[in-house]
Amino acid sequence: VLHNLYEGFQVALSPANLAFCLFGAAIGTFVGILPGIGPVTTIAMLLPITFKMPAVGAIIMLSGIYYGAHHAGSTTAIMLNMPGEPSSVIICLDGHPMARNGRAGPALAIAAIASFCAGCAGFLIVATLSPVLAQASLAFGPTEYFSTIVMALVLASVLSSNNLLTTLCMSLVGLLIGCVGTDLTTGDFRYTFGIDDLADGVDFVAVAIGLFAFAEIITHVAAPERRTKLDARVKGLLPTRRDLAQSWKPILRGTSLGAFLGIFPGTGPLLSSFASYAMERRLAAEPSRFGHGAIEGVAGPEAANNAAAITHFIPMLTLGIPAGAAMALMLGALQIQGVTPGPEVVSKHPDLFWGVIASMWIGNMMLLVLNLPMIGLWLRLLLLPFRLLYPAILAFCCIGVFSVNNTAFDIVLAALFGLLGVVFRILDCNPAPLVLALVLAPLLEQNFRRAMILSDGDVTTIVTSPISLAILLLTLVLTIYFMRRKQPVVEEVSHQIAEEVP
Amino acid sequence: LTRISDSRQFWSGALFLGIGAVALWAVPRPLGTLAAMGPGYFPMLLGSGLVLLGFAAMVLGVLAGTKTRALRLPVVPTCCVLGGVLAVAALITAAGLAVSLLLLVAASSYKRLLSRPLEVLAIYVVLLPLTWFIFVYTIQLPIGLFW
Repeated sequence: VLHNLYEGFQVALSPANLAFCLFGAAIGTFVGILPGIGPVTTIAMLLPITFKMPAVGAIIMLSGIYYGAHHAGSTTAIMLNMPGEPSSVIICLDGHPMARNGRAGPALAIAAIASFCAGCAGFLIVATLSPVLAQASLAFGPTEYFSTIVMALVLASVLSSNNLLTTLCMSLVGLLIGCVGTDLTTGDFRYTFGIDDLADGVDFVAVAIGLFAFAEIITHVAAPERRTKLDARVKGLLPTRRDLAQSWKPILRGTSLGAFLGIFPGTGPLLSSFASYAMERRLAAEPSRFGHGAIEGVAGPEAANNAAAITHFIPMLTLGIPAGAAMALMLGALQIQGVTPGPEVVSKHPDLFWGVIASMWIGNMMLLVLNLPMIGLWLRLLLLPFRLLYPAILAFCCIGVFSVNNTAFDIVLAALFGLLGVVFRILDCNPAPLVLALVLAPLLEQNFRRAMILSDGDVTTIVTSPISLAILLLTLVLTIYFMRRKQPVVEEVSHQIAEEVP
Repeated sequence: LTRISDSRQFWSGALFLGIGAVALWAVPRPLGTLAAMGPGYFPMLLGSGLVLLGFAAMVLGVLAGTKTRALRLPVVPTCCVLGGVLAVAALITAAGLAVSLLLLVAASSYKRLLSRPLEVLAIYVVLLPLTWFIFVYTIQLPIGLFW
């Protein structure tokens, strides 16, 4: 492992890759701070640029955007009670009260320290566990793959909303859209409705841009313009000794929890931060301090969030199963570069695998430097009115979608999905499971078919294979656990935010 | 439809049921069997699932105790933003970057087109060279500035 890591660092430390890493981390921080544009949209937008880049550099940059955004989302949560990313919703609960008590500096510092520690731990876990898991995944047949993908879809549904029925339906719609085009096994056209452009299927970049970016911009344009006010001033960044004494345990706990949960496909940063907050509150000596600026409520979830954001790479790098919408886009980037994600990545593309892993650690260092001393600069960005930005976002999105296949038809598709995205928003349907399902659809169908051929049409093979049974049982247990644990916290968060944002 | 208590749940259920019904109606043939699936088998399963779950969501929406806010589609912003996007789709290869971006910026900034024309123009003037530099000059997409 050490030797591999050494080579990985050599790849990651080459000037070009360092620049990609810095660029990715800076862009990620930027979009993490801007509300309304998240890592998924950004990665989708920048995807065409990566086509001309070397594979390693492309993935390094995209992962930089991903963890940079998670890192920075907490800044707006603390300063403005406005989560930059969904996963930092929970940071609002105690981070913003701290800022209002004049302790914005320590809150930001603790968040950054927690992120960094978690990032380092996550990096170590990815480095040691991925090769082992890649080996183990060689024992996976179609049945096991099928169960793992089902796990990813179900868990992603449980986590993205309180309404399991709606999100499961969203996954099914995503799977159906994934069926459009030429059937991989028989060559028949499916759901093309006589449109030639659909023969190659619906491009997931168009879907993601439509559902996330276009729908988000339309909602912003429709809303009355809001002036962002920065009321809290940052003075005195350094946390006191007492802050540190109170936070190191939550950071450790949050890191382990997040790192553990991030490994499962379908879970990830959002859930980990919720779980960590709930855990800290249960363990605290005075639970009543939570919600009024308890530093543990910042340190724990922030660590969990970032640890999970990094261990989230494990299912993608080892199994080729993306664990979320952003990962799905990165998987797409890998495929366009001619790299088939899966167990072979470690053995066939060691420079890519270890280079990306090493870059995560370097990226986390960069984030620390980018965020803490320059916090004032980033906050000034919040004053930039969204109306000046969204035409540029729209333009980049349109051209980005166009460039994937060089067809204008994809832009039309994206517009259609934009309309669908607005409808989904009104109906309270989270589009993330749909995009994930769309990417996983071919994988799910092929493995289902193969499993059924091997078992001669016997559905029970899914529960008679021990690995598959274990995966499904784990899915069931985690689903029930999260349904019961998450509900109270989610309700509390939505109450609190509803109260404070008029 | 004031009598339906959870209208979000109800209408999302209706939407899913509709999508499922279309999927079943247009299901690719032949279906095949479980052991030897044709192109239609998997979509058939998905469509049936959507119809069932969508129906369940509709029923739950009617039965729910809580009332939710009325739903309103932001018609004008949706039409303007997506109209701009469709203009790009129609013109990008035929008329080039300059014209299609002009339409996109104008349509999406419709609120300020008359009240603050200079600001909208400024956005366009900054955006056009930037886009051209990134997408045409650097990564050489087959798009022209004018045609």
